[in-house]
Amino acid sequence: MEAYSPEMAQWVAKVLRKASPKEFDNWRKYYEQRGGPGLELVKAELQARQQVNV
Amino acid sequence: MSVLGIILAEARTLHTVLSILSTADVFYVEKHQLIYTAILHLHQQKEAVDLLTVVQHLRGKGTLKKAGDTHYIASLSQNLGNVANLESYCRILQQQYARRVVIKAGHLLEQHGYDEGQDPLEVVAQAQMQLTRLQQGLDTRGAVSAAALLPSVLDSIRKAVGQKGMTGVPTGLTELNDATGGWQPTDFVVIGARPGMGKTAALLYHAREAAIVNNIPTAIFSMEMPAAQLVLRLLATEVDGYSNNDLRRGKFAGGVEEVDHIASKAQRLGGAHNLFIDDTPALNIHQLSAKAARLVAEHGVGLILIDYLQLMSGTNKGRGGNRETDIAEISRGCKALAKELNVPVIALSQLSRSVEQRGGEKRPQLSDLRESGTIEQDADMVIFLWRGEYYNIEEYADGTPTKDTILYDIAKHRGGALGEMVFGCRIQRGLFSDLNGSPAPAGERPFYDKESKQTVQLGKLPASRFEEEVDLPF
Repeated sequence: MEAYSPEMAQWVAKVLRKASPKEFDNWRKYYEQRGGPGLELVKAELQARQQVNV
Repeated sequence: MSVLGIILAEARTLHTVLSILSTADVFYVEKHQLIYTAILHLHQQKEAVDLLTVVQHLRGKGTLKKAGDTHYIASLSQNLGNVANLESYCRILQQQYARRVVIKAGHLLEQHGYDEGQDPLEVVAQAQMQLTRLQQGLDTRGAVSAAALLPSVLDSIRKAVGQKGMTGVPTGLTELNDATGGWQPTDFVVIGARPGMGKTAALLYHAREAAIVNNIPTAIFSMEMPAAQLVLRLLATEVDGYSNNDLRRGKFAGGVEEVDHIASKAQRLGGAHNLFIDDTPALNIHQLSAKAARLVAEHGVGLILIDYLQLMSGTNKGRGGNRETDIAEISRGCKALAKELNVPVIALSQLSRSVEQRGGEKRPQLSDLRESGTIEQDADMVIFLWRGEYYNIEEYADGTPTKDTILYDIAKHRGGALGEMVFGCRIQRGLFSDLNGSPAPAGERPFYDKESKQTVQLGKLPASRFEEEVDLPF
């Protein structure tokens, strides 16, 4: 089972948080194709962004 | 490019690639080498391998720019080939890498060939070593099921029936053959003893038994004695009535005529074209492996002997290595060599002086293996040689005289029994032989009952009354 170390998870979350809408969309598409722990972080970030927009 | 892209885009492909491409050198372009090195590192750290983790790892190492920056790495995962062809892509990378190594080795050979200052034999050894490493790197055999292996295992058992239990190279000593089934392919055997115990004599005896008596091509790597001196010692074992010293000093009453007589008696040795002796001093494990690989490939060598481990040199010089890490590398290399070439490798080993400081019989133990505990770990079998005569000890514990005998003490035996066995030994002539011992009483040996079609073990027979009386303390 693939996993990130806590430091790596923190760094990936930070990159996703800082990404512009276009960049984030690219990351989303990438992780949706690839799967793994990155996809979970993308989903969390997507939810956070949707809440802000609401 | 496609391979890297596929790894980054498809998580499930990583293990396929890792099982075929073991090194980043298979990639020609430096930035691809850096990216694959990052992938290997992340995998070793049990970290998920994806675009962001690879980028983060390269950033941490300060090599992100050299590896082509984030956009380049991201573009790799968009330019995928056909994932179904992944294994073929890996094989192509491997083949191209093999060509580059061969071309490089060829250039190196050419350069060194023109260089008068280079020892040509050293050049050949280096090239051989490079090619052997290449061959090992390309060998990505997969796992085999137990069911597929069963027929060959049964075959070897059938063969053993015909050879009275011998599955390996005969040792020349019956009790040792019984205990080991002969020197086993893939086994790394260490024979340790203090100086003067007869290590080299034992090594030569086992080499002679394999090559001359059983016609199994055998190689000796002698870093201690020159080849000519070894042949002289072999001559003493072949020709009755002459010790090593007699032959070395050449003081014969019969003069040259007597030498001709010795030559006529040593015909078997004269025909020993399958006993190879290499006396290059201070070989390192890579040089030795390369030479051994060539001997196995060219002459079908089935037994490799090394005299002795501590005279081999390490490859860590100038890189902060110490002698212990050198010996660890050497013993690990010897085990790998035995496994790769599928032959037994027997290496002699010095023992520390603590044996001499020990009281009583000064018998060696595993902790005496000098300079490293890894010898003990890597070896499949450790045998200590001991001669009571050397220490003026006249009898073994059971009262057997030590004169003209040698004790083989099997102190480690992976998958086999430990034990001590005494053999006849005329050290001046390097002759070893069985004592007149008999095998275990019939009732104590397991036997196959044809009627019940079962192996029967009756257990140990009760000791006789006579033996019980002897054991009484008064």
